[in-house]
Amino acid sequence: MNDPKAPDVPSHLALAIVATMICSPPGGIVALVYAARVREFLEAGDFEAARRASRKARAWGWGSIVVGVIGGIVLIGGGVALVLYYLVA
Amino acid sequence: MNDRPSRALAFDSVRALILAGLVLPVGALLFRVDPGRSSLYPRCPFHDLTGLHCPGCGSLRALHQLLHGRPLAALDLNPLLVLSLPILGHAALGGVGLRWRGRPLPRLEWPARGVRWLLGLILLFWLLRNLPVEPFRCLAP
Repeated sequence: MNDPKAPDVPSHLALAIVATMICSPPGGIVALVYAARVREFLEAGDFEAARRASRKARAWGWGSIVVGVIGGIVLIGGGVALVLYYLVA
Repeated sequence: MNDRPSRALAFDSVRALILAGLVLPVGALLFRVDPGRSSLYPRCPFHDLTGLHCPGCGSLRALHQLLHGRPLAALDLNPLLVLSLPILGHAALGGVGLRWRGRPLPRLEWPARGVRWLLGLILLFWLLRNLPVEPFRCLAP
């Protein structure tokens, strides 16, 4: 810690919090776990492991945002289809 | 870092424009149309699949109440979202590269222990707001 040569590895904490709160909590929680592991590896001085965890935190964060938003929009479509079905049938 | 400041600045203003182009119409819609009474908004897949409330459920309704100046109603719908708004704002503004006194906004970084506490808090909130027992029912939207 406090090593001036320590690389700046992002934990993507903000992304993980956004993912968790925008209705995709299961994936967001995984992103939060990886964000915590980034910081743990950084504090332990294992920068390679921190970079790997950072990439996973970013992938899980963006992945769950996309899944949450697409899932929500698909459900709107499903609701519209259901209303149309009731109107026609 | 700063070898091409002018290009970075142009990129940042594009991102700021995109953010404003998303936030302003969504904010106007949220102000005009109550998500609690309209099926116009995206639905929560977790709630639809399981019938349970997720930590984010009630967020849009809470934002609608906040925009109408009713913070207590917003806290009632989703206290965790209202309390984490400063963090979400920081994430959004930092993500578009907002500069504060010539420097980029510092990235949101907490020590590992802080992230673990936040994780525990979210999981606890998730569990408690689904308990059908009186003191915790107020946490559900």
